[in-house]
Order: sequence, then C-alpha cells, then structure tokens
Amino acid sequence: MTHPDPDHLVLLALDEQRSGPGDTAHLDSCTQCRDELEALRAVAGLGREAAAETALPPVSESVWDRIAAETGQPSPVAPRRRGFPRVARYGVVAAAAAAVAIAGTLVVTGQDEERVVAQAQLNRQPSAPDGASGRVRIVDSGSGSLRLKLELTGMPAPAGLYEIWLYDGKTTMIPLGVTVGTEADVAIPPNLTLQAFPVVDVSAQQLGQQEHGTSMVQGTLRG
Amino acid sequence: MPDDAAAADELARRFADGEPEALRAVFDRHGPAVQRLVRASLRDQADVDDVVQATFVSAWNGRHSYDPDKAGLLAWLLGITRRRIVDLLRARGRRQRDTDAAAATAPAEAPAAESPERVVDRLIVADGLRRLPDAQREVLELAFYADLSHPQIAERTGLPLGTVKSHLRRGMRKLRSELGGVPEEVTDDASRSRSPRPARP
Repeated sequence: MTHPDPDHLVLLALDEQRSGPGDTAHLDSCTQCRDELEALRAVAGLGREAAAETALPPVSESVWDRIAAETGQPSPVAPRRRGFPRVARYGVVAAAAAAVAIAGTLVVTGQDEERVVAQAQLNRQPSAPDGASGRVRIVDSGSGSLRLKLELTGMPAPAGLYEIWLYDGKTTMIPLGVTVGTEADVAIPPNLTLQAFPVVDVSAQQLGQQEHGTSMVQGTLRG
Repeated sequence: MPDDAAAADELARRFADGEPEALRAVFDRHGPAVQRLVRASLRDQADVDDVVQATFVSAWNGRHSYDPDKAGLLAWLLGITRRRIVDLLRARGRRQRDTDAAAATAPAEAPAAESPERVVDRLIVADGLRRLPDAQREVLELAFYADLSHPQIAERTGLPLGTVKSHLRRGMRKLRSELGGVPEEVTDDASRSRSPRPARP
C-alpha cells in the first residue's frame, strides 16, 4: 500500500486541499494515515485558536513577591523600589503608576533621571515585513505622569500612519497616539490602569481610519 | 519574541537542577500561561493569584520530580496548576457547601466549549510555536493566524513552495509531539507545599 506524501496529509489537515478519490480510498483502509490526519487536524485547530493565547497579561509582581518569600528566593528588585506605593496584596491597583512601578529600574539619560517602570519588546505580526520589531518603555519622568516611548525598527514608511494602542488582550483597545517615523513619545492617560492593558500594539492605519487597522508589531509590558 | 528551543530546554534543566534564578525565569516565561489557565476556572482575582502562587511554590518544591525528557516544562506546570485549582475548589466546597462555592467556581471567561483540557492544549501549542525555528514559526503563523494557503505563504515569504511545505510539515510534527508529551498524571510535591488559601471570611 502506498501512503500519501506526508506533505499532502499536512495540507489536508490545514484544509487547504480537498481529499481526492485516491485519498478517500486510502484513508478508509489505512488506520495509520487516518490517525495521522486526525492528529494533524487537531494540531491545526489548536494552532488557529492559539492566536488568542499569544498576548497574555503578565502575572502581578505582588504574586512573585509571595512566591519568592515562600521559596526563599532572592528578590533583587525590592531595593530598587523608591517611593512608590506597593501594590495591594490582591492586585487591586489604585493608580497606573503603582501598577507598573513595582519593578521599576532607574535609567539615567542625559541630565534627566527617568524611571523605566515597564517595558515591552514588540514582535512582528504576520502582516509586517521580515525584520520588523519595536521596543517600548513606560517611563515616569518624575512627576508621576507616565509616558510611552516607542522605537520601531525595520518598518517601512507607512502608507498612512502608525497608531499606538494599549490593549487588554480581550476586547478593548485604547489609541494613544500616532507616528509616521520610527519613534514616538506619547502620554498615558493618568486614570488608565496599565495592568489592565498590558499589551502594546502598533497598527498601520489609513488616513482618517478610526478603528484599529492592521497590527504590525505587538508585545506585552513587563515590570 | 520567538525564542530558541535550546534556550527553553536549558531553562527547564536549570529549573530541575534547582538553580536559584531559574524559578524567576520560569515565572516570567510561563506565569502568564499558568494565570490564563486559572482564569478559565476561577473568577476571583485573589483566588487566581493564590493558585498561581501555589502552583509555582509546588513546582519549586517538587522540581526534583520534573523530568525534562518526559514532559515539557509548561505541560508539567499546567498539570500542577490544574491540581491546585482542584485543591482550592475542594477546600472551598468543604467549607461553603452550596451557593458560595457554586458562584465562585462559575467559569470566569469561559464559555462551555472552553474546557481546561482545551485551554491547556492551546497554551502548549502557543508555547510550542514560540520554540520553533523562525522559518517554521513564521510559515505556521501565516497558515494559522492569517489563514493563508501554502502558495500565498510562498508568495508572502519569497520561499519556494517545496520549502514552505516542508516547514509546515516539520512545524506541525513538532507541535504534535509537544502535545503528545502532555502527561496524564503529573507528579509534583504537593505535600511540601501550602495549599491555596481555602476560604475567605
């Protein structure tokens, strides 16, 4: 018995190719290939659903503190906390600053001292060109108000513009500002809890387009 | 960020060997997936935090029983997570027989179709994708997320059709073997770890 080409089974599993009469006859009689196809179909189904699991919100730093305490782990971020309120034990966060300041590190740039309270590496989405990426830092410039600083690499000049969004990973996206270059520095609304919107997304937008356009790079903030 | 399978394997071994920094690295890498699974069963954020905490504490205390050759680290962790969820629900059930427990255990963001098994499999596939070599990952993401056919993927990536097909085949095989590695029964060392806080006043 000649089994179908393994590539062919994969394409059948991805629903790209209809099974021909030869396939059907073979699959009817060959348990091995039938099982293989079924397993590959299951993987393909899970793979399609996995898109929903790629930008999961991080675990609260307060949970890490409890794990570290219970397992006797060093907690090297602790001494760097300077003057920021600790997050309440059960993750109830009063202010955006508190939400992301937990593992704050201090970065000295020029004469200004800015505290990077969270950052994210932005990864290329399927519509972006190869090599596209980005980096986001959430900084507190000292007054307690937070700004999002974005650097893009490997992105073409946009046909319209790029828009920066905060996303809760489920349903809500908040537009923060736009750029047509490779950098942006935008304010984060003071009443926004970053912990609830941990995903940073940069989309390509048509001029005048209100709704979210096409995702180009995306990543999850980490304290 | 796509990460290299070798680095992920290395992390699993460092964890099993009990290197102090490994727990934090595992928490950073897999904490979001653990939390995601807990949120499929528990609605209350304090409960979610407790189970996430109990999972990582159990995992650390039971790290000697983790065999990197038998299961992926995430699969092992998610097995522990499910047991800690059950612990919490049982403890809750003993104390508050009826209404409270029922309310507390109502699926949070989970429609009926979203069984914990399905969520676990999906998280493992998502993690498996991250571990694939870049070319395979990219081709599979275009097939899964952008729903492109293999000729469209070839056009998008500039890869020959045959290469696209072989990336699809290899990537699918690897994802399948990751799923095959999900242990039915995972072992950890629950006896040495604290159970999640059973009930709140």
